[in-house]
Amino acid sequence: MMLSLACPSCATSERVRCVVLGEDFWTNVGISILPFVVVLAVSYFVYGLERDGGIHA
Amino acid sequence: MRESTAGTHVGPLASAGILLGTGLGGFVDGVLLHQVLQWHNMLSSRLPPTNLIDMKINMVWDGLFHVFTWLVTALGLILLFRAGRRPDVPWSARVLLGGMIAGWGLFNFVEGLIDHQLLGIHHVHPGSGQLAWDLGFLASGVLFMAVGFVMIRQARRASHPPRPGTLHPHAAE
Repeated sequence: MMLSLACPSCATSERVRCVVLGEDFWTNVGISILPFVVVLAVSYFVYGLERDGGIHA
Repeated sequence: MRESTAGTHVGPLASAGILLGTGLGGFVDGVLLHQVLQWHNMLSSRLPPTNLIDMKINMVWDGLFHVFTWLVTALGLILLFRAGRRPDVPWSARVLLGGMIAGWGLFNFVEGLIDHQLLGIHHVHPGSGQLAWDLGFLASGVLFMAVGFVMIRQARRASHPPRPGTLHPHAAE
């Protein structure tokens, strides 16, 4: 039975670290960051809307 | 600082609002849906948190999600500060609030489309009615974006008086 401990260095945390930093690490980072990249792109577009003569009301 | 519509360039303030709204929406998702209600976690459809190890792995990715949310919020604050110092940017509560509502909606729509529909890494409320919850989340995004961008558009109209020689929309009334 595995105990639930707040352990920075124990069998549980080492196993978790091993899986997180495993072969899917960069894929999961990309998945996590992708929605924010889209939001930043839209925000950048809105920032320069009128300066570039973009969408007019 | 009092409200001013002297400037005509609403883009920087709207942009700051979009990032702040994205941050607020992201924290509502992360704190309320991931942690308080525990409806889902970042990778819970790929790695269901049915034991301590898998739960802790999901917690790591939830934490990374909060890191990105925090960074977007901080960037929004920087843009807001910069916009407030520019004379060509109107200091308009309507633009800022509209941007924040649009940003929250943009987050719901983009995150829902990518994470729930395209990648399927988690769903809003897994189980029966899962699709309805996901579609409701997307619909809330579209609604918030529509409301927010209409508010920005109205504020922009107010800060752009008609040019001399052009027909005012209400001139015939």
